[in-house]
Amino acid sequence: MDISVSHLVKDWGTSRAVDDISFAAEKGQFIALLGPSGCGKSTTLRLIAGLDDATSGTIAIGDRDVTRLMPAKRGLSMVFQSYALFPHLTAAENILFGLSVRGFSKGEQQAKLKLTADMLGLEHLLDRRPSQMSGGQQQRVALGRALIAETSVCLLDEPLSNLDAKLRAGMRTEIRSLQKRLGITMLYVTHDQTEAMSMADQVILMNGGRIEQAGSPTDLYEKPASVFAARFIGTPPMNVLDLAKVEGGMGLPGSMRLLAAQTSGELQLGIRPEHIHLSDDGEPAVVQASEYFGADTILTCCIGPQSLQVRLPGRAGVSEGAAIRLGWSPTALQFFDRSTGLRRDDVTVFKNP
Amino acid sequence: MNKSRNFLYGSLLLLPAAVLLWTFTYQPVLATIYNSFFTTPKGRRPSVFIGADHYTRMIEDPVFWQALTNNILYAAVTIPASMGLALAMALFVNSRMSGQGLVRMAYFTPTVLPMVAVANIWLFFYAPSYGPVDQLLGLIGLGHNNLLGTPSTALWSLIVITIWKEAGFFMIFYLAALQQISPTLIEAARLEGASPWQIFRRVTAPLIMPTTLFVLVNALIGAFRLVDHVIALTKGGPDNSTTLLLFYIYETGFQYWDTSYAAALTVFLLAVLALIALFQFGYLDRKVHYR
Repeated sequence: MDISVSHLVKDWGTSRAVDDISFAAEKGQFIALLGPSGCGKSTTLRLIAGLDDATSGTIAIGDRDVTRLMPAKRGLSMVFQSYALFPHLTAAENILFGLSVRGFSKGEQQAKLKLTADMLGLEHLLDRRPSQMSGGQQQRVALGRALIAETSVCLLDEPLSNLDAKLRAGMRTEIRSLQKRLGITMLYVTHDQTEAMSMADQVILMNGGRIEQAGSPTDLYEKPASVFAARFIGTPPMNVLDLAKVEGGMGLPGSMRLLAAQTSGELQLGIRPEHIHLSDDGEPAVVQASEYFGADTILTCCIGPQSLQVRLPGRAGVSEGAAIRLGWSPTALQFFDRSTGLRRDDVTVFKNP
Repeated sequence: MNKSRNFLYGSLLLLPAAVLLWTFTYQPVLATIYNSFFTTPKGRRPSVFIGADHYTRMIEDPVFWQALTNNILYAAVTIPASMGLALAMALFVNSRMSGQGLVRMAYFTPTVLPMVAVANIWLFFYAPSYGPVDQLLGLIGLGHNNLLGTPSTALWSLIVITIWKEAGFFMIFYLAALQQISPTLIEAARLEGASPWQIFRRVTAPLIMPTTLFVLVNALIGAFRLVDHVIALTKGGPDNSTTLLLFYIYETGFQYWDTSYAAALTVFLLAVLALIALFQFGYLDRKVHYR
């Protein structure tokens, strides 16, 4: 285990920012800490970095308990959201700052600088100050400063959030391939589920200071552990609809069709927009809005009092206000408990005769 | 057409400031330089042109040299001491601690007090035998001093007052500069393994350099400009040991009414201040990193 966190708690006065978090990252893994703002993901990262002190719990890096160690003694590097480049130093001096304060010889510094600059394509920027560089260039310099130390663990705090969309997509693949090539463990904080899903080996979804779900991107997408996870992952996210009791089981309110062969408790139904299609014998629905994206079209439809989104390939050719019928495969249905918001795997899907 | 109208508007907008600057700054400067080449007009003798006579007199004037050396010593001690103290206090009150506001206010109090009031307080502090300073010196067997009345200690007594008064003022500038520094930069430096001293020397100090320059220029000008405490405490004495340049000018001009010689002395002081300004804009500005 390269990073292992157990029962980590952080209190700010009376409010609890991080509430009993445990997870572990194997060497060379890319872990994404994902969640909405204020969910405690950045605080968790700062606790691991040692910039804030944990209220309780332990943090180990490379089998060494570092919970009470100074940040510099933990053997990790970090890329800050604002890059935190020293404005009075050139790119080269910024990258070499750590080596220089740690007393590396000038020769060693220059050799490592050359390797790092080559790797990140920074050669022509080395003499520039941060104010003379674009956001993307500053980002590379910040990455260089973190990578030159050759620590086995690198923490990244929303490193791409200040870049424009096009650059962000490019940096995503670049950071991921650097991480694989160097074999380092990266812990990556983001609120952008696309980043987490496309880059990470393991996604840790946080909400309200707790871990909502931890697993591979496929797990999170295909088997969301809760309504929160279902609604956080995917663009557009999973539809979650209330179910009502119908004769012989449960179904959508305002519809006689049975969906779950269950009569007790209150259930919610989850289904991804891409798993719904137009079907002649499907559930009647009314189109409320239609958004065309080129490769696909997102329809917002109403079934009874509830609305849901449907992703159809290409141009759907359905206008607003049109009455359509929606169908889905029974295996695409997922169920959640309405009171706890947790996934229910014990519900039997009702197979239509 | 439009251009000339713009020019007219622009000129009119600049006029009030230009008039004030001319009347109260440039015209007096030129008049001072002009007057320094003439004798002082007396009741029956109008002033006559004497060329550089006042300047040669200055070179031979022992009091002028005494005032100049006094002033240089005064500046050389008060400026680094008050700036160093100001930075130390600013770093101290910038750290997280309880009673921060109270300490900041306490440090700033000497600055808001008028110099004449300060002089009276220190007159008591320095009083022989019963003044607190002398009593403290008495504890280590060095009592019974007339600190302000002895030529060897009088200037140093004024230096202490100046440091005490100026440090709080400069602290405010340093505090403002320190609070401009993003805490993330300090965190990044800590994470990279920099010690507190390295953080100060390699991150904080360079980033507050513009403020240091500003404070330095202010302190330099202040060192040649401040006379209230000399007037209130020692009147230049004893034996000219506390005579600073500006006080000497004041004395020559308004006590002895030798206004032309005072004008020549003023020209010298202006030249010194102009050199300081040139040094700042010509040299230091290029060495300082401005964000």
